[in-house]
Amino acid sequence: MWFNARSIRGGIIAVILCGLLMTSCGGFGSTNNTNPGSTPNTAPQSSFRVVGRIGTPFYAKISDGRSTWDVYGVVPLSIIIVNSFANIRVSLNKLVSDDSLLSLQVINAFTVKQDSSTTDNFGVAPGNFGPVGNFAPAANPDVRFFVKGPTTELFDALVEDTEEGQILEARAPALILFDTPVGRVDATFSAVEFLGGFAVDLTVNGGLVEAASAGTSLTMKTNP
Amino acid sequence: MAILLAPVLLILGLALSGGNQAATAAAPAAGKGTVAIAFQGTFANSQNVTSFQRVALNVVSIRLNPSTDADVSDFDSRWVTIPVPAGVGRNTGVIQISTGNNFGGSINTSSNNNVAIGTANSEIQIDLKAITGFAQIFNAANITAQTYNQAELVLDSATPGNIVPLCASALPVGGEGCISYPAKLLANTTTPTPSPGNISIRTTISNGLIIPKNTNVVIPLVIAIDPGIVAGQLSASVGQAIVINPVIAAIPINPPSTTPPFLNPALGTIQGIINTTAAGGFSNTKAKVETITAEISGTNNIIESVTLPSTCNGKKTCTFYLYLPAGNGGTNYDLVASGKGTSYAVRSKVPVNVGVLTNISTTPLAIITRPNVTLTGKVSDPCTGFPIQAATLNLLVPDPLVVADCTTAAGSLPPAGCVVAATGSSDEAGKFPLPGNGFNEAPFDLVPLAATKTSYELMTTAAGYDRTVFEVEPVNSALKCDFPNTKAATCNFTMSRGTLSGTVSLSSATTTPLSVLVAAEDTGTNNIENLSLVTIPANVTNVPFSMNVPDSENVGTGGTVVTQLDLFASAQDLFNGSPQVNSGHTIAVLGGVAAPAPPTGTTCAIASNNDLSGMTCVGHSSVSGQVGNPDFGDTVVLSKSDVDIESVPVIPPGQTAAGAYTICAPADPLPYTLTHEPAGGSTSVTLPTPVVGPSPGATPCPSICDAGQGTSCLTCLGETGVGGF
Repeated sequence: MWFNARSIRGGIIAVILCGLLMTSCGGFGSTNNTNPGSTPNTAPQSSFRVVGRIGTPFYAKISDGRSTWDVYGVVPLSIIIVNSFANIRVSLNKLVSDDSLLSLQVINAFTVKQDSSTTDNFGVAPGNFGPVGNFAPAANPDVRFFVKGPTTELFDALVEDTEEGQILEARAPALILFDTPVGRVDATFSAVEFLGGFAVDLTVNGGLVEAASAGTSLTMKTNP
Repeated sequence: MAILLAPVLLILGLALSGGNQAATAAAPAAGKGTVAIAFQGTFANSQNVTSFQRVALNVVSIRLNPSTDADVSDFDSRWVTIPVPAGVGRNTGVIQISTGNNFGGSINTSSNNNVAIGTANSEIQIDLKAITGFAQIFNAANITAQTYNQAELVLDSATPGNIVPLCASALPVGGEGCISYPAKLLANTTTPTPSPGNISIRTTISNGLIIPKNTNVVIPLVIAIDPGIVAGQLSASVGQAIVINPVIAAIPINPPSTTPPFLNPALGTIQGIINTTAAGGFSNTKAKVETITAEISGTNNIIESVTLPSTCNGKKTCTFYLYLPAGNGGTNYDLVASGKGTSYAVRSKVPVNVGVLTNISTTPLAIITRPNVTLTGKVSDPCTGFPIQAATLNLLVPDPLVVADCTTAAGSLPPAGCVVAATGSSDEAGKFPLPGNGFNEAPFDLVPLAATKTSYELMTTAAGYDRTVFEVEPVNSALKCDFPNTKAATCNFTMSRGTLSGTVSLSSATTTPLSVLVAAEDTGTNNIENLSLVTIPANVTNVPFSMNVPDSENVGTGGTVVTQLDLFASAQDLFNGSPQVNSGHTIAVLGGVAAPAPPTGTTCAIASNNDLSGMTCVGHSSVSGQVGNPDFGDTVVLSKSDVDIESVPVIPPGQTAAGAYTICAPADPLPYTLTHEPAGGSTSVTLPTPVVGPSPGATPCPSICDAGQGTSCLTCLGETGVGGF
């Protein structure tokens, strides 16, 4: 869901640039129609959607071959790994004993590649993109941006460390996991539909570093 | 009276739970009307349906065409599309119908399924067995007002479905049973038809589907979907997939009409009246919209939510209609009327039967003007102080026709007649509610301030914690939770729990790491309380596990205190590099474990030395059959040593293969017990063991579990038939 933007430090400039690139180049590295400059697009990236009955609580264990994250949340939630490493394995479990639907969509670029769902008590919906092995060690540092709201807001984000920046576009609520960042981490969020003020939490190794509430654009940073 | 209001825009998306959104479409423009689509599963044209544990289709959209020509081109300009509800969008403040589901993706309010950058297209995975005999509302759309004669189902063109066969059905073409395989359409069937000579998944609508030019009427249409499983076998020629040839049938309203209430043979209809004391009457605007929500009785499971149409504006009395799924014998719903700046009005256990009108107009829902406040706070662990994530909070309101209030003593459940009027969830910091947006506020941001001397009841649940119930009462212009040391307007509280620990072990070490799920459930039931996912490293036989569980004072779903728990452990095996739901290892069980004592101060009790042992790679096996005297909602429970492991639905009466059940399970040499719930009949069964050796299929078989052999296979061949219990 992103492509390389090299290391861009000016957040707003980067987002504008990203927007231009997305609109002119197809975005997400899936195409490069106008062949702008020499910046190569990355291969189409993988992401997930946890959907089904709204409010259904779940636990997900997510691994990209290098890092693993434990995620607790409720439907709906988009999950995006920045700087993902290899094939991805997900174990998605309901955390309630009822017949509510919990469904996992494994997405690559613009396409839903895999659906997996359950209505069982504490049922499991496993998923993967490409052949996988066991779960990798826990992410270290475990850096997460949780864009809680405004719910359904379409937003652009530039997420970067000191060596690389990646842009993405998603809908809130969305959880952004940064795999193996180098040095300082920052992110700039810009609303597209202006449904309300942002509510974004930044956590590092399970601790809440910053809870930001702002209008239609905000920047957060930390040095994990 | 009869101001005909009706649900107009139907959207599947969300109906505000935990700060969620309501996908919506705009009001019908001139010359347009609204159709609501629901799905129902059927297997009348499928072969060997009882040889499949699960049959799911990945649906993208439904298309309608006015042509009377059943072979009308797929490129005909008159096709209109009802896409999968993306679950995201805006409340236009006009009128909408929504459900409690969200399937992600881009906003779709028109006749296409455009994909926004950053979002993949939407699709919904429909488990056809789960919706056999109980329709599932899909979506609604505004379409040109005319008579439609053709309906077409559009599936994901790459993977139209996913099917899990039992063991016997995997032969003789090859492959392993109890594995999730992709479905493939029959050679010349595509979805939709992109080129001449191919076949669409279509049906002609008998007598046509009349969409009137009335912005206050929604026409319900049910599409029955048969997966058309071909010979029930894997096809090596299409890459180890299962061939399907889906067939659909349209179930329109009957008798045909353009004036509500409508009757659909596959849906039930509720007609009711809502009153308001607001000075200006109803006001269907963004700032003040009134909604009727239907939930499965006793739950927060929203099936449909309808806003009042503009024809109600300025009125103080209005009629509403709901079209709802129902099972054989009827389904009870709870109704909640709410609005911005108004009180709740609820009605519990409204019976709904398919093809029947339930008229509750004699006792109208009455909302009165009340100020809204926000119910916010934080849920924490009593011992660590850590936030409790993904907790579910339900605000209960009494149905005055049944019970005076929902106040309950500690250690008991709220009384019957209490309805979930609002629901929310905690975030990763334990805080609630999750935010809404400028068009759809979170339900907990719109809680009407209860009248003096009345209160709400807040019931909170979270995996691994006691069900927690307390009163929420008005204090001046805020709400105060009746929890120790809690101040008005900030509802911070803890949930009691204990810790349960032990080890999980294999009979012999494996050459690769193995993930194992350990679950704890109320003893003698399938009501799971929590789980823990642990990894057993390669060349290691056991690892410790630990999980939070409710303590010995927790009140279970049955209303009694649960003092014992049952444990079971199930390995998550890979097949061809993909994790599978069905395990190939024996399931370790441990029954009758004493629940830990309640916390003492900030110290949580630990129940230790709960060891689950002997997990062995045995491969898959399966069992199927037909229970005696099946009823709607029946299940078959698989248990081992009196510990419930798995529960599967029974195909309800009145359907093809009524009473049938199918189960995949490890080929444990010890017997399982099958129990027909709630009837209670049971039987013992030992499942056939798989064949050890090279795969008979085209694809080399790495086996569901290695058992240390490296490249060997454990291919399940046998399927036991057991029925009549």
